[in-house]
Amino acid sequence: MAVSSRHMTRHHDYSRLFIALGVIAGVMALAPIVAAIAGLSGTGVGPRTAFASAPSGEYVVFGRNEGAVDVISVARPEDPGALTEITRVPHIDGFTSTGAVSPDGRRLALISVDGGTASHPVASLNVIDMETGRITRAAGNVTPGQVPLWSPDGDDLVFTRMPSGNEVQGPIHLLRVSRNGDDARTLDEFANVLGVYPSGYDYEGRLVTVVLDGAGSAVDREGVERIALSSSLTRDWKVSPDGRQIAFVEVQTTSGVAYFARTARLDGRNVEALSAAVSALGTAWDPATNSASFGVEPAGADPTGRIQSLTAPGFDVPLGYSASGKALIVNHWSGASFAEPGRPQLQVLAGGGRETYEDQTRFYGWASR
Amino acid sequence: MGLKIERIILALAISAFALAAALAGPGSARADHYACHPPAAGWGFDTYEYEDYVGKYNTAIDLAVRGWAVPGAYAVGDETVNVSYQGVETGSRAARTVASPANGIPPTVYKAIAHIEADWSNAASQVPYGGVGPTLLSMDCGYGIGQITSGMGHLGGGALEPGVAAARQAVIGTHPLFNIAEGVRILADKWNSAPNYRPIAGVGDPAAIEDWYYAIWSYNGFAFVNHPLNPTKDPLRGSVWNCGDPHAPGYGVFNRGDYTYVEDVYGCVRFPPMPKGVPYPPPLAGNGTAPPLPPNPGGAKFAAGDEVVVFGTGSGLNIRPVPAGDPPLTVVPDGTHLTILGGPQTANGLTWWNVQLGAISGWAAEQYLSAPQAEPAPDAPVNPAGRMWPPQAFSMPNLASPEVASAFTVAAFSTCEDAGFAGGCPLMDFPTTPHYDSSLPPNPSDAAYFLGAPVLQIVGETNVKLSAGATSASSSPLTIKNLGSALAPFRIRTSAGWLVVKHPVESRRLDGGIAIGANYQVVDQKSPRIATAGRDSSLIITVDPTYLTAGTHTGTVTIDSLLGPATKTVFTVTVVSTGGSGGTGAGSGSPSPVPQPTPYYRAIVPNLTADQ
Repeated sequence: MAVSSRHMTRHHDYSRLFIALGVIAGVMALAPIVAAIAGLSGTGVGPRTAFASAPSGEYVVFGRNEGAVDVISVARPEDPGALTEITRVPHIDGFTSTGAVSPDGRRLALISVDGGTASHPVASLNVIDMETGRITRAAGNVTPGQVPLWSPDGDDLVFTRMPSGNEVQGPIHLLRVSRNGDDARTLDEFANVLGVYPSGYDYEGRLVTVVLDGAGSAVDREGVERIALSSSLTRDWKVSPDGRQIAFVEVQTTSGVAYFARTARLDGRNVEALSAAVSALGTAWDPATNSASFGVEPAGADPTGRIQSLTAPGFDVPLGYSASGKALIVNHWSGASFAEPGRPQLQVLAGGGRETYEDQTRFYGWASR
Repeated sequence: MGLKIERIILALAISAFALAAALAGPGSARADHYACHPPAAGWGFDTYEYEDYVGKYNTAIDLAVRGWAVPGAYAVGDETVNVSYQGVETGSRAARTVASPANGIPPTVYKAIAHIEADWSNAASQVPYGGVGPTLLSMDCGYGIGQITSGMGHLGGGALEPGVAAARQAVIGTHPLFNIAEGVRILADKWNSAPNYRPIAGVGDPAAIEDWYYAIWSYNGFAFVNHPLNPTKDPLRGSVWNCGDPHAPGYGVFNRGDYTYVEDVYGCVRFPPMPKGVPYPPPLAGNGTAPPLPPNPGGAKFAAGDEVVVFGTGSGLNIRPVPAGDPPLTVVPDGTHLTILGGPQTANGLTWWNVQLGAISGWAAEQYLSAPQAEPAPDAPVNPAGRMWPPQAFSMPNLASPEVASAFTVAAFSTCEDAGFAGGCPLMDFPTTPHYDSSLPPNPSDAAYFLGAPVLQIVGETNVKLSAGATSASSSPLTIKNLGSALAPFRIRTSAGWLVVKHPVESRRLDGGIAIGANYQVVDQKSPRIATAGRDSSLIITVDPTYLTAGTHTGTVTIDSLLGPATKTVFTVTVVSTGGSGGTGAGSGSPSPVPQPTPYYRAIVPNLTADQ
């Protein structure tokens, strides 16, 4: 179970050592038996997905909803028609999983609604090994709709847990769990807030969490004074590859709801208004240049909207660059404005061109082999 | 006290079940998220599912939202059952009038809520339409078509005592009309929370569909997760959910979980669903969508290279290796885009096309394929043909308007929440442009069909002698009849946790059920249809030997009618037990006391703060 208290006492280091030694000894003793039972003796290799033998390179990780199942697939950016299915993740009908790919590109963390009811859904955090397709449940009773955050070393995941559908909003718990579901612990507890969104790690390895409350939006980091981002709602937060900035979209309401691109320094206190007059949604950092991209409305002429050099009608909302920075996944909308956005398609922008991923509706990140 | 301890032990057993479920591997639905999960928890109620569920539940809701469905307060023994419509207040914050039953609720609003909550089912999924069986019970202990949770708890909130259902709980859990009436009451309560504890949409006109925005939000929980600007929701998702309509905006891209609860409900107000298994009608001409493609030369519907879309299957379209061939290669959901490779061919009376989806190529039936159409206009008229209720026109909050947008700032919501909603959150009031429900009113006398004139008769030996070993026990039969008409709901009370009333072939304990009059058909099998007139409830009285120690134990089972002429039968049960692992109270059957049961119960069930 992933329930723990922020005051929970950790095992003493020696105890953990003894436990680890015991586990290792046990595994060594039982391994031949387990292997024999599993029919794996002689090979030492379990079931593998087609991805496990795919050519090396960068792959886009997608989800396609089929009612009560999400079909997880990968594809090369240069060959969007050749999808390789990884696994199928069951959930309650009507809820597409959210997720993120690990920094090493080998695992996918998914938050899938598999409990509660359709009106009061509750989710689990599952980790999928993309080379075996094996699904490990890392935590239950997870707030649906959030995107789990991988630690930079890929060992842990951070997520939130909050009361579901209650009349009075209870405290929101920020938790960390290892990718195999062990050692779950509460990192912090936030009372009187509207939302808590783990968004990345800063340049000194501190967890960057955006907190929404009545005062607006702020960046929370352990041991560091909060940085106010806005007096209003914000969204689409992404920490830069060097961990020194956070890009986000500010939701202004003074003249009707409008969305504006912003960045803030995490090594200072400046919030930069990248675009005061142009609506923008979606953020992505180019790892090659450490620069932020936003998706602006077609009418915009914002110089920072680097991805709006469109050859097709509509507009793009950026979702994520590949590790090399050579390709960017976007949601391409067919409409002319945020008010009339039309219909979205997942597309890849690479080498000056764009390709469409038919029928894939959810981008989870980039895998690599 | 001993009785309560038994009930608490039952709760502990439930908790153990939850813990065991928590330790299991991943599955399609998990029980450990909630303390309440069937069949180990929640009241054991039986109910009836109307065969003509579309017609009957439409009428029942039309009656309930006007206060015409159920009788006023009435007595069951020394308890009072009152599920009657209390009415709603009307008017703006400055000119609010008292609640009046003359002020109804737009029926389509509650029809959409019942669809979102329970897919218009009052019974569990294994019960056929027209059949009798367990009441739909969700993992968070929502009962029936209204998914009623408030006041339905074991550990408080309405029960006579832990494990003993109140008459009000039992009638809501067993009778579909009372379940709907209670759901309507709850929605009316949410409306009446304004202006003291909720904001007001529009001018507080209950006839205006738009003005129900905050009451609908509150029906699910007035929490930030349902805020339209919640950052986990895509700002470009559109104003409402498509409610499963393949011709509605966002279909195939967004699911109901991508929207707020309010947007889900309003989506089904605009795009009413079809009865189960019935395909959606085509869009109306000139509604903003592209016209259907003209037939290809030669009369074929498609040509190689065409892109087509799967529609109207409900459960997905089989892609088969050859025309009509089994087994299917895969199943693809409605909204999936396929590419025509060739065809057509004819097999089994159907026309088949060779289609491709990614690396898969196979054959699909033509009747479920259509040419793709442009995204329809969000406010385009909806083809009403065959839908479960008439589609309604209305407008969602216009967030481009400064006056509306200011109602949804973080400061407005947070100020409201921080005050415990006291003061009614005036910062969140916003103006609306009212639209009114076009549904025609029912005939008030239609309520008589649902209420009928039930007459309960309880048949069985009232002086019951049973024997029990370590793991098994004898039983005594009991039949509950309805000599009158319609549905006769009844409640079952036991004086001790070891006493069990159940169906002979089920393990589920019953706390209430229903006996069917001869004027109702009861369907046992849908296809070919097998039905009979009326249905008795055949039960047994037995014991759970695990709660008993060796010795003689006595207890009572009380069954009382919940509607119609008062009937109450008390069965005195004496059991001689030769074994078991139960408690020490030889004379009472009470099990061992459990130290500090409540903290233990709460500690192992995450997120359990109240049993409501």
